[in-house]
Amino acid sequence: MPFLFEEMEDQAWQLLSSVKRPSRYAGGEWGACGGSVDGEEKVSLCLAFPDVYEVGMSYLGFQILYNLASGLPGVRVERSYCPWPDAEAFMRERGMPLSSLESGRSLNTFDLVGFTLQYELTSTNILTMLDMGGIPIRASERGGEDPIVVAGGPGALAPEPLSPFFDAFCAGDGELLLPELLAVLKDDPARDRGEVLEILSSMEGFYVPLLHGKGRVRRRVLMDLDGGFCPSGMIVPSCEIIHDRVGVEVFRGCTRGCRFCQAGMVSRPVRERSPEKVAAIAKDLLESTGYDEVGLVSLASCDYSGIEKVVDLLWPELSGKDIRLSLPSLRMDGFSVELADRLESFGRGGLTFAPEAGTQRLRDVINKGISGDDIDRTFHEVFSRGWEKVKLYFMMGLPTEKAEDIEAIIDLSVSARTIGKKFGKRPRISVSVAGFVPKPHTPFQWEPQASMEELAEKGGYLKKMAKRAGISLNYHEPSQTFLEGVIARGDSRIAEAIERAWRKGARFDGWSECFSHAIWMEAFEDSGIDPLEYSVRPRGAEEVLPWEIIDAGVSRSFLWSEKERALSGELTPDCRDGNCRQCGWQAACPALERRDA
Amino acid sequence: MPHVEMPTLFCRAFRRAGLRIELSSGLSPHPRISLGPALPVGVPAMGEPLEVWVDRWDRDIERSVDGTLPEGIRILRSGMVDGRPKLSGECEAALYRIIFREGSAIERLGKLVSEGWKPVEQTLALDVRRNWLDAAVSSPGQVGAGTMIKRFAAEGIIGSWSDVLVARLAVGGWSGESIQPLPCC
Repeated sequence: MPFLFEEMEDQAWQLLSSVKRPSRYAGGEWGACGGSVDGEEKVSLCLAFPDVYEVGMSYLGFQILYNLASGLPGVRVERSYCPWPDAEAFMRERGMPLSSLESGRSLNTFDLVGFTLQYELTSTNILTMLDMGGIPIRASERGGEDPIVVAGGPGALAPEPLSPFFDAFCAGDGELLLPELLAVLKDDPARDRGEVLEILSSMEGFYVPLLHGKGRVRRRVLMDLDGGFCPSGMIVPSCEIIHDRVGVEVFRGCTRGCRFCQAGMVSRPVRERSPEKVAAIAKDLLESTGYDEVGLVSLASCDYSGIEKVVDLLWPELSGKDIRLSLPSLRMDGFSVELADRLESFGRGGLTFAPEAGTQRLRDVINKGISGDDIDRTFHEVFSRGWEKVKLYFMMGLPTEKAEDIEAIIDLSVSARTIGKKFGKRPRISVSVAGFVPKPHTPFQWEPQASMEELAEKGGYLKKMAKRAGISLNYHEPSQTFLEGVIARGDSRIAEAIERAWRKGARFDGWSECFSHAIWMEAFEDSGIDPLEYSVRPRGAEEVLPWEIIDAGVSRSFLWSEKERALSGELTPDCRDGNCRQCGWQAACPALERRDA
Repeated sequence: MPHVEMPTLFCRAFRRAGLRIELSSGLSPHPRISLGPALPVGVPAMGEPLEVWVDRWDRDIERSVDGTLPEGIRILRSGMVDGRPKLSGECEAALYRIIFREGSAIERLGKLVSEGWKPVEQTLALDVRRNWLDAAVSSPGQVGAGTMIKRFAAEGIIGSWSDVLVARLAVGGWSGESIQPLPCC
């Protein structure tokens, strides 16, 4: 019977038998490769996700970049995730470094460590990973032997709060930026750290805080999704993760123009993938992964012009093989519900919608673009087609919000239940309310954020009213929403507070079971920072905003005019059928070209 | 890897090998895969039974499924079975290896065992070695590593799980002396 005692003596084994969810640290998944495609290793890259494995493995961006990098000659790519506090304590006690899942090499042995910044409240986890990986947390303290530490993702478009911790930020689509970055390291291994950073700072889309002079860094955009890199493989986890399926992007960008939505603004212009390409990628990935579900991914997949075609193309591939097709989110209209019904992939369990605000007035302020009639019709469709469970997402603390807007959240939820009852159902409505966080590069970037006290009061009121109405309702913890807002619109001074909070023990701040408001308030005080300056303070038109160092593509004048239109309750129609509002992409907008054709 | 997630893991591997697994009937059909008695997370398994309803099977298919399994999981042997009762009910015995971190624990255990002590009533065989114990038990669905660990703690041999490393070496039939793989046709 082969059983190696040495293995059990190994600290890694002891870690696995001692922590919660050891599968987080086990590795060995299908599709994880290690070595380079040609057997020659010229440069090594560790993709580092600053949250737990289940969250990180659900992130499609890293699946794409991993697949891309593993196909480049001379490149070895591996992964690492942030250890949960139980594993961190175990590893620190025994002096175990944070290492990659593939080869178990510590992070400081790589040439390049690449983080993704998906969420402000993962900031302290970045410091945990650098520190445990044996890398000095501040870029200014790194030497010749240390890896180049970079970050991409939406957070890299507002990089200042994390700027002291990174050697470079990558603004834009990774399919363009990562190969160029790897080439700088690969082409001439003799280049020292200073030379590499010097070269990066001269390349479009790269922001090197230590060397940056004047001028803005322009976000890089992959205009042709069909012509760009298309993934042909994925890593398949051996344990359950959050989004446990093949994901195929159908388009990037969004034409809806919701004024609160950072993703919709910073991923412009809309670029669609052809239905043929989507179907081909889906087929390849299903075969190579063995998944039984494929999700069509984008900011609003029901808006994809090729949706019917893709369903037709994929149907023969899926129907005989017990494979489901799913959409991550549904628009509030009859078409979307009908589509969900046709796909039969949502189960009869429940459907999720995001009206975002309770009244028409406030929905117009945020340019949500759905009417009360749309919502009514959607509920009728949902319940008449047999669903019983509906989940609704709202925000509180939106600009211009009044008491009646909050009350209307309950009214709207109750109306869903009333419609459900008409169809003889026992409807179950659950409501989730997030505190609004004004984000960089959006029309609301100048707006004050609602205070913690205001959010707590509104949340408490909603909870009480929902209970009375027999509806289940949860709202996000206001102190976490507050911190998210402070970091989101922070400048480089915030970095000091992040480091202090981390040294005081802040970890996994996005997880309510780990979050400590008190630690953060102490850290702000010790750093001489008044966090309210960053949250509740309105910004003026003349103020230079910290994230304007990055040119995300949408113009300041467009954002300002959208803010003005918001405050006067004026709708801006979807770019595809309205007049172009000159967001900054008008010279190269595929949606515009399609409309004019 | 959690035991409950093994069916999904195998399901995906079978699909990668181009095989289809039959679905159960009922309101929410799921792939027809069954495993032996459950195992706590953190206890590695060295030889477990798995029963799966597939559309075809031969040696070549066995090899191709083996090639699509993730690292650390391999097919040791396979064969066709027919119209059997539930797999977990067929497993008569399991063999555990319990490795003690403290030398004194194994001494105390050795003494108790030589006096005829058994960690559980269902004990079939005990073998005390340098720093580990191999324990074969019957009714593995009811009695597992957890029960034995509790008994060791109750006897003062160890404090808790953290004082041992446990692996399940085999599950199957009992010959009177050793664990036997479940028979195939």
